Amino acid sequence: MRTELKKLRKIKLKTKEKSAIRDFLHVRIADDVRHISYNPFIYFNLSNHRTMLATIIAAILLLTGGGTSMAAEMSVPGDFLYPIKTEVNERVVEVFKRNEEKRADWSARQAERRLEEANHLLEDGQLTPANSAFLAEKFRQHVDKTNELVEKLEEKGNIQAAAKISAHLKYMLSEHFDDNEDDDNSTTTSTVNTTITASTTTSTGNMYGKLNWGRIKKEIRTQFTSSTVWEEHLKDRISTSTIKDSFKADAAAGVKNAAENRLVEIKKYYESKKGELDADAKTDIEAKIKKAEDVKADADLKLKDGKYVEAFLLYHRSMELAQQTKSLIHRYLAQERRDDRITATSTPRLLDDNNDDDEEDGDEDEDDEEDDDRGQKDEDKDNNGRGNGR
Amino acid sequence: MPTDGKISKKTEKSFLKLYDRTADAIFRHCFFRLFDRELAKEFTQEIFLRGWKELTDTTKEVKYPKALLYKIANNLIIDYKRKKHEESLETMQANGFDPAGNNFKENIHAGIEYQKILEKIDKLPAEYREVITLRYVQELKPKEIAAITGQSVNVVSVSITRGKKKLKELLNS
Repeated sequence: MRTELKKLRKIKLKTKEKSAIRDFLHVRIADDVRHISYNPFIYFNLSNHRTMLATIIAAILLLTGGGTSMAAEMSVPGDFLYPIKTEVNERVVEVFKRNEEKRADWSARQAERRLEEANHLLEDGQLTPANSAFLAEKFRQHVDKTNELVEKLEEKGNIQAAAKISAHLKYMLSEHFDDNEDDDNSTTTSTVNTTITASTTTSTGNMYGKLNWGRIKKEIRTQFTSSTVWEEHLKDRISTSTIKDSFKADAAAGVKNAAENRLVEIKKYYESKKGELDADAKTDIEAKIKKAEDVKADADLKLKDGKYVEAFLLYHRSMELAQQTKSLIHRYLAQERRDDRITATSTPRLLDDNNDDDEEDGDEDEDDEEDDDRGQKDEDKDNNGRGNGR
Repeated sequence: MPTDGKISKKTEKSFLKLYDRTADAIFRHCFFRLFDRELAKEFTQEIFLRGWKELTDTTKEVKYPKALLYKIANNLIIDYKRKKHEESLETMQANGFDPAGNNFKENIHAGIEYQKILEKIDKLPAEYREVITLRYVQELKPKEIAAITGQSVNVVSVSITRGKKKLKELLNS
């Protein structure tokens, strides 16, 4: 009988009928749907009382581990909390950087955060021309500010700090804009056109976003990462400064300690998070740690040979790689959490169909038996009750 | 920050996925009560439109979206039938009703089977007719049926068992 009943399931909409209703629904509900277009100008600035108060509250939350501020740290352009991240959290951090060195360092870090956000968006297929252009502009602003502060440090004779921050910026840029990277500029126009023709509006936007970001990266790479110029500039500044050789040796040794401590710290951190990472992530991270260790080993050799400037630069490079490893771990952990979130709540709560228990036909029979048995048991109970009651 | 009250694309996508999965079952549900294919299609469209409004209403929490769609369907059908005279399957078949529609004009044997089963289901007492159809034709779980009918899961399970027995008797008679 069950088989016969199942045959009734063949009564259904024809494919064309089903598509026609679907298209109709899609058009009718489209007006209710927000089509995200990024407009940075709708976000508030700090020039009025209300937002100043919000900033103070955010500062307290940030310092005391407030949930909103912390949650905002994971956001990217287009997210609800993104303005909290850039206009509140970052500005609050800036306020607490008391000297030019710290502010320059923070400014370089802000530039890096914009690149990380672009990468997150790219990975999620959410990078559009609008948000890639926005991030590129913000990135340029942060780099320009970093350079201004570095020049001030150099003018004041704080060569060590200037060199450290320049190296941070330079190596961060080279990490994100690897010359060997197959970026989107290698995609031919015809391939792009074919892909765009075949895709939906959403993926067309993302494809343009990707292309746009590829073009931007090329510009940035050309403008900021001419490695020969940077290296020579730094060496030049340190070599021609009036710092004595012994001071240079001390500076290099000081940075050596910092590099060693940083490596130990990052390895401990990796061990503590290893369990949450998949095999590919671990391979990637371990390769990065090895690279940092190899660069440090080179620096040790240079220091031993009395090449203090080169050792100094290489120790900084090692620290930057260690710092990047930490960022990489964070990125992988964030990706795991995003994936878990998507798997668990891929439909919004209102439309959560986990409770609908859709099953393949094969599995259903077991539950059929269970439910039928429950009904049967209750039925038997009823009958026995009636019997006993007589 | 966007505060336009608009709904996210994610929600839109989820809703359309829900449609893809349940449109046939909702259509079937309407069809077995209206016995009119074109009408069942119109009802299906309207049910999903109303479902969208309910599911995206942030003041309400919906635990079983599928059950909500069935409830909307039942309400629409009841309202419709109040305005029209309800016809039994027999009367409609006498007037040339062919429940399988164009799909099965080629498959006469299957068509005959459907007719047979539909006739028998139509003869079931009302309280069993619905649960049997929802359980074995629409493939809903007892808890979903309970959410639609407002009864407890136990009552639904008992109705299923009794309805199945009764239908077997009818089919064998």
